[in-house]
Amino acid sequence: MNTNQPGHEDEPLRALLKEWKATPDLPPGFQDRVWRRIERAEAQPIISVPLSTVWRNWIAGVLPRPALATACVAVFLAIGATFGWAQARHETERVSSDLSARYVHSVDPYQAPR
Amino acid sequence: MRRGITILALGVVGAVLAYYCFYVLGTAKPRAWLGNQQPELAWLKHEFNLSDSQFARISQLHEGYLPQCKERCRHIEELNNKLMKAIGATTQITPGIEKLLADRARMRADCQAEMLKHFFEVSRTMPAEQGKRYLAWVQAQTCLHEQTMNHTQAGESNHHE
Repeated sequence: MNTNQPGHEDEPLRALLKEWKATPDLPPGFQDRVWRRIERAEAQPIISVPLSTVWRNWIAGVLPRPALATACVAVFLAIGATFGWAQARHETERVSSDLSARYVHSVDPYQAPR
Repeated sequence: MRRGITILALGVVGAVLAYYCFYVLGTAKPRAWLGNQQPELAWLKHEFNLSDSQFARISQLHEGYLPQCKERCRHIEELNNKLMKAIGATTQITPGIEKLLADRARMRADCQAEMLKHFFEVSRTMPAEQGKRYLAWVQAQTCLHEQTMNHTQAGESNHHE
Protein backbone atom coordinates (compact mmCIF):
# COMPACT_ATOMS: atom_id res chain seq x y z
CA MET A 1 0.00 0.00 0.00
CA ASN A 2 1.37 3.39 -0.95
CA THR A 3 1.46 5.72 2.07
CA ASN A 4 3.00 8.76 0.29
CA GLN A 5 0.71 11.65 -0.53
CA PRO A 6 -0.20 11.99 -4.19
CA GLY A 7 2.41 13.99 -6.09
CA HIS A 8 5.14 13.45 -3.44
CA GLU A 9 5.88 9.76 -3.85
CA ASP A 10 8.77 10.35 -6.36
CA GLU A 11 10.42 13.39 -4.74
CA PRO A 12 13.68 11.55 -3.95
CA LEU A 13 13.78 10.16 -7.43
CA ARG A 14 13.36 13.59 -8.94
CA ALA A 15 16.13 15.06 -6.86
CA LEU A 16 18.38 12.23 -7.88
CA LEU A 17 17.59 12.71 -11.53
CA LYS A 18 18.35 16.44 -11.27
CA GLU A 19 21.79 15.73 -9.92
CA TRP A 20 22.54 13.06 -12.52
CA LYS A 21 24.47 14.22 -15.56
CA ALA A 22 24.98 11.77 -18.33
CA THR A 23 28.27 12.14 -20.13
CA PRO A 24 28.21 9.34 -22.67
CA ASP A 25 31.48 8.61 -24.36
CA LEU A 26 31.36 8.51 -28.15
CA PRO A 27 32.71 5.31 -29.61
CA PRO A 28 36.31 5.62 -30.75
CA GLY A 29 36.67 7.06 -34.28
CA PHE A 30 33.03 8.19 -34.34
CA GLN A 31 33.73 11.64 -35.83
CA ASP A 32 36.06 10.19 -38.46
CA ARG A 33 33.42 7.70 -39.52
CA VAL A 34 30.81 10.47 -39.81
CA TRP A 35 33.08 12.62 -41.97
CA ARG A 36 33.98 9.62 -44.14
CA ARG A 37 30.29 8.92 -44.71
CA ILE A 38 29.69 12.56 -45.63
CA GLU A 39 32.61 12.49 -48.07
CA ARG A 40 31.36 9.26 -49.63
CA ALA A 41 27.87 10.69 -50.02
CA GLU A 42 29.24 13.84 -51.65
CA ALA A 43 31.48 11.87 -53.97
CA GLN A 44 28.56 9.84 -55.35
CA PRO A 45 27.26 11.21 -58.67
CA ILE A 46 23.86 12.88 -58.50
CA ILE A 47 21.38 10.73 -60.30
CA SER A 48 19.76 13.02 -62.86
CA VAL A 49 16.56 12.03 -64.55
CA PRO A 50 16.32 13.26 -68.14
CA LEU A 51 13.61 15.83 -68.78
CA SER A 52 12.11 13.62 -71.48
CA THR A 53 11.63 10.85 -68.90
CA VAL A 54 9.94 13.24 -66.50
CA TRP A 55 7.75 14.45 -69.33
CA ARG A 56 6.91 10.90 -70.43
CA ASN A 57 6.07 9.88 -66.89
CA TRP A 58 3.89 12.92 -66.48
CA ILE A 59 1.99 12.17 -69.71
CA ALA A 60 1.60 8.50 -68.84
CA GLY A 61 0.85 8.81 -65.13
CA VAL A 62 -0.48 12.25 -64.29
CA LEU A 63 -2.18 13.62 -67.37
CA PRO A 64 -4.78 10.85 -67.79
CA ARG A 65 -6.40 11.84 -64.49
CA PRO A 66 -9.84 13.12 -65.52
CA ALA A 67 -9.63 16.46 -63.73
CA LEU A 68 -6.17 17.24 -65.09
CA ALA A 69 -7.06 16.05 -68.59
CA THR A 70 -10.10 18.33 -68.63
CA ALA A 71 -8.07 21.25 -67.32
CA CYS A 72 -5.34 20.62 -69.90
CA VAL A 73 -7.79 20.59 -72.83
CA ALA A 74 -9.51 23.69 -71.43
CA VAL A 75 -6.18 25.53 -71.23
CA PHE A 76 -5.37 24.61 -74.83
CA LEU A 77 -8.80 25.82 -75.95
CA ALA A 78 -8.39 29.07 -74.05
CA ILE A 79 -4.96 29.67 -75.58
CA GLY A 80 -6.27 29.01 -79.10
CA ALA A 81 -9.31 31.21 -78.58
CA THR A 82 -7.24 34.06 -77.14
CA PHE A 83 -4.77 34.02 -80.03
CA GLY A 84 -7.58 33.77 -82.59
CA TRP A 85 -9.46 36.66 -81.04
CA ALA A 86 -6.33 38.82 -80.79
CA GLN A 87 -5.36 38.06 -84.38
CA ALA A 88 -8.89 38.84 -85.59
CA ARG A 89 -8.88 42.12 -83.74
CA HIS A 90 -5.53 43.06 -85.21
CA GLU A 91 -6.73 42.14 -88.71
CA THR A 92 -9.95 44.14 -88.27
CA GLU A 93 -7.98 47.20 -87.19
CA ARG A 94 -5.63 46.84 -90.15
CA VAL A 95 -8.45 46.52 -92.70
CA SER A 96 -10.35 49.35 -91.04
CA SER A 97 -7.31 51.60 -91.24
CA ASP A 98 -6.69 50.67 -94.90
CA LEU A 99 -10.29 51.32 -95.89
CA SER A 100 -10.49 54.65 -94.07
CA ALA A 101 -7.33 55.74 -95.91
CA ARG A 102 -8.87 54.52 -99.15
CA TYR A 103 -12.04 56.52 -98.55
CA VAL A 104 -10.06 59.66 -97.77
CA HIS A 105 -7.94 59.18 -100.86
CA SER A 106 -11.03 58.68 -103.04
CA VAL A 107 -12.56 61.99 -101.96
CA ASP A 108 -9.28 63.88 -101.65
CA PRO A 109 -6.65 62.74 -104.17
CA TYR A 110 -4.41 65.59 -103.00
CA GLN A 111 -4.38 64.20 -99.53
CA ALA A 112 -0.80 63.70 -98.43
CA PRO A 113 0.02 60.59 -96.44
CA ARG A 114 -0.05 61.40 -92.71
CA MET B 1 1.07 6.75 -72.23
CA ARG B 2 -1.23 6.47 -75.24
CA ARG B 3 -4.10 7.96 -73.29
CA GLY B 4 -1.97 10.92 -72.21
CA ILE B 5 -0.83 11.56 -75.78
CA THR B 6 -4.42 11.38 -76.97
CA ILE B 7 -5.39 14.01 -74.42
CA LEU B 8 -2.52 16.23 -75.52
CA ALA B 9 -3.44 15.79 -79.17
CA LEU B 10 -7.04 16.58 -78.37
CA GLY B 11 -5.88 19.75 -76.64
CA VAL B 12 -3.77 20.83 -79.62
CA VAL B 13 -6.58 20.12 -82.10
CA GLY B 14 -8.96 21.99 -79.81
CA ALA B 15 -6.59 24.96 -79.67
CA VAL B 16 -6.31 25.10 -83.46
CA LEU B 17 -10.07 24.84 -83.86
CA ALA B 18 -10.68 27.52 -81.22
CA TYR B 19 -8.14 29.79 -82.94
CA TYR B 20 -9.80 29.28 -86.32
CA CYS B 21 -13.35 29.78 -85.01
CA PHE B 22 -12.49 32.96 -83.12
CA TYR B 23 -10.47 34.30 -86.04
CA VAL B 24 -13.24 33.61 -88.55
CA LEU B 25 -15.93 35.07 -86.29
CA GLY B 26 -13.76 38.06 -85.37
CA THR B 27 -12.92 38.92 -88.98
CA ALA B 28 -16.47 38.51 -90.30
CA LYS B 29 -16.97 42.27 -90.54
CA PRO B 30 -13.78 43.19 -92.41
CA ARG B 31 -14.34 40.28 -94.79
CA ALA B 32 -17.85 41.57 -95.46
CA TRP B 33 -16.46 45.07 -96.15
CA LEU B 34 -13.84 43.72 -98.51
CA GLY B 35 -16.44 41.60 -100.29
CA ASN B 36 -18.43 44.72 -101.05
CA GLN B 37 -18.11 46.46 -104.44
CA GLN B 38 -16.99 49.61 -102.65
CA PRO B 39 -15.21 48.43 -99.52
CA GLU B 40 -14.42 51.97 -98.34
CA LEU B 41 -18.11 52.87 -98.36
CA ALA B 42 -18.98 49.62 -96.58
CA TRP B 43 -16.45 50.62 -93.95
CA LEU B 44 -18.00 54.10 -93.77
CA LYS B 45 -21.41 52.53 -93.17
CA HIS B 46 -20.04 50.52 -90.28
CA GLU B 47 -17.91 53.31 -88.84
CA PHE B 48 -20.71 55.88 -88.78
CA ASN B 49 -23.59 53.49 -88.00
CA LEU B 50 -25.50 54.26 -91.18
CA SER B 51 -28.87 52.76 -91.97
CA ASP B 52 -29.40 51.12 -95.36
CA SER B 53 -31.23 54.17 -96.71
CA GLN B 54 -28.53 56.54 -95.46
CA PHE B 55 -25.89 54.30 -96.94
CA ALA B 56 -27.69 54.22 -100.31
CA ARG B 57 -27.93 58.02 -100.33
CA ILE B 58 -24.26 58.45 -99.39
CA SER B 59 -23.21 55.94 -102.05
CA GLN B 60 -25.19 57.98 -104.56
CA LEU B 61 -23.52 61.22 -103.42
CA HIS B 62 -20.13 59.52 -103.59
CA GLU B 63 -20.76 58.25 -107.11
CA GLY B 64 -21.86 61.70 -108.18
CA TYR B 65 -18.87 63.40 -106.62
CA LEU B 66 -16.08 61.18 -108.00
CA PRO B 67 -16.33 62.07 -111.75
CA GLN B 68 -16.34 65.80 -110.96
CA CYS B 69 -13.40 65.32 -108.62
CA LYS B 70 -11.46 63.45 -111.32
CA GLU B 71 -12.19 66.18 -113.83
CA ARG B 72 -10.87 68.85 -111.46
CA CYS B 73 -7.79 66.76 -110.78
CA ARG B 74 -7.18 66.44 -114.50
CA HIS B 75 -7.46 70.22 -114.89
CA ILE B 76 -5.05 70.86 -112.02
CA GLU B 77 -2.63 68.36 -113.53
CA GLU B 78 -2.77 70.22 -116.86
CA LEU B 79 -2.06 73.51 -115.10
CA ASN B 80 0.82 71.85 -113.23
CA ASN B 81 2.37 70.68 -116.49
CA LYS B 82 1.98 74.09 -118.11
CA LEU B 83 3.49 75.74 -115.07
CA MET B 84 6.48 73.39 -115.04
CA LYS B 85 7.12 74.10 -118.73
CA ALA B 86 6.80 77.84 -118.23
CA ILE B 87 9.16 77.79 -115.24
CA GLY B 88 11.65 75.66 -117.15
CA ALA B 89 11.71 78.12 -120.06
CA THR B 90 12.72 81.19 -118.09
CA THR B 91 14.86 82.44 -115.22
CA GLN B 92 12.47 85.05 -113.90
CA ILE B 93 8.81 85.29 -113.13
CA THR B 94 6.64 86.23 -116.09
CA PRO B 95 3.02 87.33 -116.36
CA GLY B 96 2.30 83.90 -117.86
CA ILE B 97 3.73 82.12 -114.82
CA GLU B 98 1.83 84.44 -112.49
CA LYS B 99 -1.38 83.66 -114.32
CA LEU B 100 -0.76 79.92 -114.21
CA LEU B 101 -0.01 80.09 -110.46
CA ALA B 102 -3.21 82.07 -109.91
CA ASP B 103 -5.24 79.68 -112.06
CA ARG B 104 -3.89 76.68 -110.25
CA ALA B 105 -4.53 78.24 -106.85
CA ARG B 106 -8.05 79.11 -107.92
CA MET B 107 -8.61 75.61 -109.25
CA ARG B 108 -7.36 74.11 -106.00
CA ALA B 109 -9.60 76.43 -104.01
CA ASP B 110 -12.56 75.38 -106.18
CA CYS B 111 -11.61 71.76 -105.64
CA GLN B 112 -11.48 72.23 -101.88
CA ALA B 113 -14.79 74.09 -101.88
CA GLU B 114 -16.47 71.28 -103.83
CA MET B 115 -14.92 68.74 -101.50
CA LEU B 116 -16.22 70.59 -98.46
CA LYS B 117 -19.65 70.86 -100.09
CA HIS B 118 -19.63 67.09 -100.59
CA PHE B 119 -18.59 66.51 -96.98
CA PHE B 120 -21.42 68.73 -95.74
CA GLU B 121 -23.92 66.86 -97.91
CA VAL B 122 -22.66 63.50 -96.64
CA SER B 123 -22.69 64.66 -93.01
CA ARG B 124 -26.26 65.93 -93.36
CA THR B 125 -27.31 62.49 -94.58
CA MET B 126 -25.93 60.90 -91.42
CA PRO B 127 -27.50 60.96 -87.95
CA ALA B 128 -26.65 64.33 -86.35
CA GLU B 129 -23.97 63.08 -83.97
CA GLN B 130 -22.34 60.86 -86.56
CA GLY B 131 -22.46 63.73 -89.06
CA LYS B 132 -20.51 65.92 -86.64
CA ARG B 133 -18.01 63.16 -86.07
CA TYR B 134 -17.67 62.57 -89.81
CA LEU B 135 -17.03 66.27 -90.47
CA ALA B 136 -14.39 66.46 -87.75
CA TRP B 137 -12.75 63.32 -89.11
CA VAL B 138 -12.64 64.38 -92.79
CA GLN B 139 -11.39 67.81 -91.86
CA ALA B 140 -8.53 66.25 -89.96
CA GLN B 141 -7.74 63.73 -92.68
CA THR B 142 -8.01 65.74 -95.89
CA CYS B 143 -6.18 68.69 -97.39
CA LEU B 144 -8.75 70.97 -95.73
CA HIS B 145 -6.54 70.57 -92.69
CA GLU B 146 -3.44 72.50 -93.75
CA GLN B 147 -0.23 71.63 -92.00
CA THR B 148 0.91 74.34 -89.65
CA MET B 149 3.56 76.77 -90.87
CA ASN B 150 6.90 76.39 -89.23
CA HIS B 151 9.60 79.03 -89.45
CA THR B 152 11.53 78.05 -86.38
CA GLN B 153 12.94 74.66 -87.38
CA ALA B 154 13.86 75.39 -90.99
CA GLY B 155 15.21 78.84 -90.25
CA GLU B 156 13.83 82.23 -91.16
CA SER B 157 14.91 82.00 -94.81
CA ASN B 158 12.98 78.79 -95.57
CA HIS B 159 9.22 78.94 -95.76
CA HIS B 160 7.32 75.69 -95.57
CA GLU B 161 3.65 75.10 -95.71
